Amino acid sequence: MTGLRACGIVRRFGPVTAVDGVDLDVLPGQVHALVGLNGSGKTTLMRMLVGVLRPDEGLVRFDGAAGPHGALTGHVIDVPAAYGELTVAENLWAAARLRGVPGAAARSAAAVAAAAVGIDDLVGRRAAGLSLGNRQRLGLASALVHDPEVLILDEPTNGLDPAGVLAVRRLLLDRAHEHGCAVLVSSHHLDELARIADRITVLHRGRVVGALEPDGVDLEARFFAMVAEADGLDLSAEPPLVPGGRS
Amino acid sequence: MSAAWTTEVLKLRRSPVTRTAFAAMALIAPLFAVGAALLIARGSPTGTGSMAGAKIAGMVQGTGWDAVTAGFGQVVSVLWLLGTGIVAAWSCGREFSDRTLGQLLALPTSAGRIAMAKLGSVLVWAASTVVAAAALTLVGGAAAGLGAPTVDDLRSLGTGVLAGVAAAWLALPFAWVATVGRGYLPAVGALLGVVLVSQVVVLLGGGAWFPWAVPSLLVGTGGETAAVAVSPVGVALVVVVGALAWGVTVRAWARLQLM
Repeated sequence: MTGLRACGIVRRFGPVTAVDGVDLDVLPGQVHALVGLNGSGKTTLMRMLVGVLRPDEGLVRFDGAAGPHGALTGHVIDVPAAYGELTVAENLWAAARLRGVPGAAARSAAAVAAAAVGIDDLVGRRAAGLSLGNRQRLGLASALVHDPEVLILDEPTNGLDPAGVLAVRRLLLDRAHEHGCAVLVSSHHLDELARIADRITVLHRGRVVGALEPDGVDLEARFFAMVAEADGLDLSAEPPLVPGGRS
Repeated sequence: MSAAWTTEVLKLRRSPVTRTAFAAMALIAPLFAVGAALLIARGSPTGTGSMAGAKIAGMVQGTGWDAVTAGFGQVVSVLWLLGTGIVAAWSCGREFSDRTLGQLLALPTSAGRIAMAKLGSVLVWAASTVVAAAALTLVGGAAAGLGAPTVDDLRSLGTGVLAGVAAAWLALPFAWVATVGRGYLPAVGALLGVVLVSQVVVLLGGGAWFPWAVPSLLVGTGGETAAVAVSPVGVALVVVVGALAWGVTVRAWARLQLM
């Protein structure tokens, strides 16, 4: 099975260093969660891991890969990509073909992927008419259609209803634990990540500032403490008394 | 067909932009060509006929099938630049505007191959449409009572078809503008700018070497003198501009990143 390893990844946009020397590994059979505040560099990092953005420094390695990276990786980053003029089935067929699925198998691969994310009843509908949640499901199905060995998903539950969130949670666990897929997922929902992640890495201001135990207590408090510590703040200190204010 | 080709052809077939543009092109060209011939036939220098016919007679040479083929060449050489330019710009630029680019990068199918499929499929559609427009023109002319065209008429219509293909070839630079401009609007602006500049260059007498003016001059838009004045260098520049645009667009796609 294929794993993913990033070594010393750096990416700058002008004077801003969006990702600053990140080392990260995503192992086969594990769900690795990436958490961080807005602007922490999660999306930029994921783009480089997928290969749609080139790092200024460092490298990304696919350990044990037996084919081109694009054929092994599925991703949803930023917004789920879908062509509005195509139906759900055609979008999935196109995604399968571009990811190396042979023409004869593309149609059945599309049907399997649609069923996996619960949109098999929408295959004949144009993507332009889909709700945000169903568009997200279509993006996920496109990422899964070629049966990838590495999955990189940025906020995969965006726009999903509770049933959709549950379905994605089950899907990711199934991909990782039953199919041996290496899954990297980002989210702001720490409670959700606690339910599925084997490992949680905290990214802040473009740097890895620590790791959280998914099964520990009060994940949110530990996350904020870690971020504050990285910023040099002491959250345990008493707030200063304001002259004339209420104590 | 490769995965990139089948996907791009599917997107063109389903797209309302492509369908509208090519359907309009396929209909406008025969309507203009046959309509111009009919108006000229009804026009009269004594002023007893159609005023529109008299005006059209000043723009389109000849009568009957001569007027049809001349009108066809004139409209096609401009319309195919505009229509194909819009479709080529949309095909590349929509991946940025619709935020679908991320799905096209880092695939086993390289972005350069996808760009080639985009340009190639747009050209094939444009060429097929100009052939269809020529066929419709023949049907329209016959239905309008112009009789059967002669071999010379068919040859003139064929020249119009070639002018349409050349105009479509000259639309490729707008795919490159859409790529580096990361959207189709900059390319549409550039397209309108080139059409405007072509008019000015022709008025100033430089059309014989200005690539975007060459197809319309060759089919007689500027009169026989202007058509004869088009040099082999002008024709070669048409080929070079399209080829260069193809190369730089594919190269730009091969280097694309999702910023």
